[in-house]
Amino acid sequence: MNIAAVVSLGAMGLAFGAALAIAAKKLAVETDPREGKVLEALPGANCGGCGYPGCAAYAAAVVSGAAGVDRCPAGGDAARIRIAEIMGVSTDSAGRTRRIAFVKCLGDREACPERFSYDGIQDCRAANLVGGGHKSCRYGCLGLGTCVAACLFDAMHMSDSGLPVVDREKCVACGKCVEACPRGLIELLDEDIAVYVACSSKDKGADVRKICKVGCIGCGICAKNCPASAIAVTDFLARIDQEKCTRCGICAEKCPMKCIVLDADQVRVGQADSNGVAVSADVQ
Amino acid sequence: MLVGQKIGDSDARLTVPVHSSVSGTVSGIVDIEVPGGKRVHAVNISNDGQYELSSDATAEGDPAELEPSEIIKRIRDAGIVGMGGAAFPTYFKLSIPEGKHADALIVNGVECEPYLTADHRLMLESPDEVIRGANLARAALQAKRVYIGIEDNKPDAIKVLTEKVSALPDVEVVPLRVKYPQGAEKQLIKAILGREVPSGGLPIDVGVVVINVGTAAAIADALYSGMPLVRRVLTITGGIVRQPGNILARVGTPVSHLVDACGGLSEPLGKVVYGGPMMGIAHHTLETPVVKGMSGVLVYSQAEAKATQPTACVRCGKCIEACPMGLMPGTLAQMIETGRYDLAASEHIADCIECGCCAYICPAYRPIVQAIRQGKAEIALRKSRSA
Repeated sequence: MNIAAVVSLGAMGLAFGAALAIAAKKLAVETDPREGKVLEALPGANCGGCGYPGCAAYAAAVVSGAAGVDRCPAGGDAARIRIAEIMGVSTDSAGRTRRIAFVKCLGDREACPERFSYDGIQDCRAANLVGGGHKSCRYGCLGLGTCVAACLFDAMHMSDSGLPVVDREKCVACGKCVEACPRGLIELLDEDIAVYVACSSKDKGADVRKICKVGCIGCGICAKNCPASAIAVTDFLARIDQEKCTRCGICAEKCPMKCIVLDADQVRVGQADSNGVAVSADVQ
Repeated sequence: MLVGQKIGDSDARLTVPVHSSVSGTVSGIVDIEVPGGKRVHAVNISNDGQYELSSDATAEGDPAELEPSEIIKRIRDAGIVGMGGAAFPTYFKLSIPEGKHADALIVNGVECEPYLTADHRLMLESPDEVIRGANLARAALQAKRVYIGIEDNKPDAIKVLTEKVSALPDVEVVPLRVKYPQGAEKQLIKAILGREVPSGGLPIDVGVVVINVGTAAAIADALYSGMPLVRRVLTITGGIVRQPGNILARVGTPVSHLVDACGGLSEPLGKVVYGGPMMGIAHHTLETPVVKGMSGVLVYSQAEAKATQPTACVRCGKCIEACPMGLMPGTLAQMIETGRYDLAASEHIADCIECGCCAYICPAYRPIVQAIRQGKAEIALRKSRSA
C-alpha cells in the first residue's frame, strides 16, 4: 500500500470538504422555513388547480403573501386549515362546500349518433379540427376521453356509451378537464347543487331534435315553471342561476328532453322558496 | 338579386364583400356548413335560371391607368381572395405596410399538389387574363418585375404563357422542376429568386408578393369587365368520379351538383377532400357550397378512405429529411402528444406549413402533421387564454 496516496487523497478530501462547508454557509439561499412546511401540507399532485405552476410555486406564493391560504382545491379543508396554522392567519374552521366537475352533455353514442366515422388521432382536440367534429351535434361531447386523460386524480372515466363520468368522491375541482375539453363542456360547480343543465347546444330546438334525443331545445318550460325565476333561456339553451335556485327540482321534472339533471339527495321538498311560496311536494 | 350584385360586406379587417353568383330572389338567411365543418350564415338565393347581369358589374375607364390605391380598392370591392386555397383577402396582400417595399410579384402557376389541374387549364384557356391580372397587381404594388412560376410537367402552359409575355420586358415565365410543396409561398420564392423568408416572417419581408394564377385572372375579370368574384375553376376528381374534370362553377353551387355533372360516383362516398390530397380539408359530405378558395374536390371511396393504423416511431428520420421547412416533425408531434406545448413552440412549430410530407413519408404511418396541427391550435388557444 502506498502511504503517500492515502495521505494525499485524504488531504484533498479534507480540503474540498472544508471548501464545501464554507460555501454552503456563505452562498446559502435564504428560504422561509414556512415554505417547506406549506409544501408538505399540500397534496403534491402539481395539478395547477390553484392557478400556480405546481405545489412549490403555490407554497412560495402563500409565504410571500401573494396568494391566500384557500387556493388548493385538491387539499380541500384540511390543507387550508393546516396552511392557515403554519402562516398564523385565521380561516374559518368549518368545512366549505366542495366543488366538483359537471359534464354539460348527455349525448352519448346512442342519444346523439356520429355523423361520420373518425379514425384520426384519438384526442378530442384533434378530432374537433376535422370537419367540425364527428358528432352530429357541434356542441356535444366527442367521446374520445381527452378529459379523462387529463385527470390527475383518477376521478373521470368513460362510460360504455361514450360519455365521461365524474367520480364525485375523487374529484378535487382542479380544472384540468375543463381546460382539456375543446368544446368547453365541463364546468366546476358546488357539489351540493340540486339541478344543472346537462346540455351545451346553442342550436335551435328543431335542429337539436333532429340530431339528439336529450338536447336542450330552448323551449323555456323550465324557466316558466321555476318558482324562483332562476332559469333563463339564452341562445336556445336553458341556464340555471345556482344562487337563486331553491332546489325544488321542478325544472328537472318538467323538462321534456330530460336534459336537466337532478340530484335527488339535494332536493329540499316542501320548503318555502325565497318568495314564501310553498314548493310542491310531488317531485321525486 | 342579379349576377354580380353585392349581398354582404363588413367593416372588419381582413374581410371582403360577397356577391350574388346567380339572379333570383332571396329566400332567407340560413346556417350552412362550409368545408372544414364551420357553420356560417349564408344568403339563400332561389335561382331563376336567367343569370341576368347586375348593373354593378360594369367596368369604368381603362384599368391600366388607375392609381395603385384605386386598383386595390376595386380588388376589394370585387370580393377577391387568394384562390390557391387559403382564401386570404387579396387587397390586404397587395397593401404594403409602411416602410416595406415589394420589388417582385410572383404569380403562382405551380399547382404542385397531385390530382389538381384547375390552374393548368386556366393558364391554357385564359392566359391573357392571367397576364393582365398580374400586370394590374404589379401596378398596385409598384413592383418592377413579374415572375410566373410553372412546373415543367405543364410544358403546354409554359409555352403558351412564354409566347404571350415575349413582348413584355418585365414579365418572365420561370419553368420549375416538379417538386412538392413548391406551390407554398416560401418554397416558391426560394425556387425563383433564391430569397429565404425568415422564420415568422412574410414574403414582403424579402420584397416579394405571391398571388395565384386564379387570383390574377379574377383581378383581370373584375377590373376589365367589372365582374366580381362569383365563379372559379375547380377540379372534380377521384377514382370513383365517373368523368373527372375541371369545371368553371359559380360560388355557392352545391358541390354535389358538380359531382353529378361529372357523371356522379361509381361507388358509395367514403371521404371528400376539398383542395388537394396533401393539404386539402377532409370532409364527410358533398353537401357544401363551392367557396372562393376551393381549388378542387377529391372524392375517395370507402376503401380508399380507410386510415392505416399507426405503429411506433422507428426514429428513421425520414420526416426530418422530407420537411421543407427544416423542422423535426416527428419530434414536434411527440412533444404535442406528451403535452409539451412550450417546448414545441420554442422548436418553431409555428413555421410548419402543414404540407403533410412528414405524414406521407412516415413508414410507421404516424399522423405527424395532424398532431402538429392540433398543437398549433392548442398553442394559439393557450396564448389567447393568457392574453
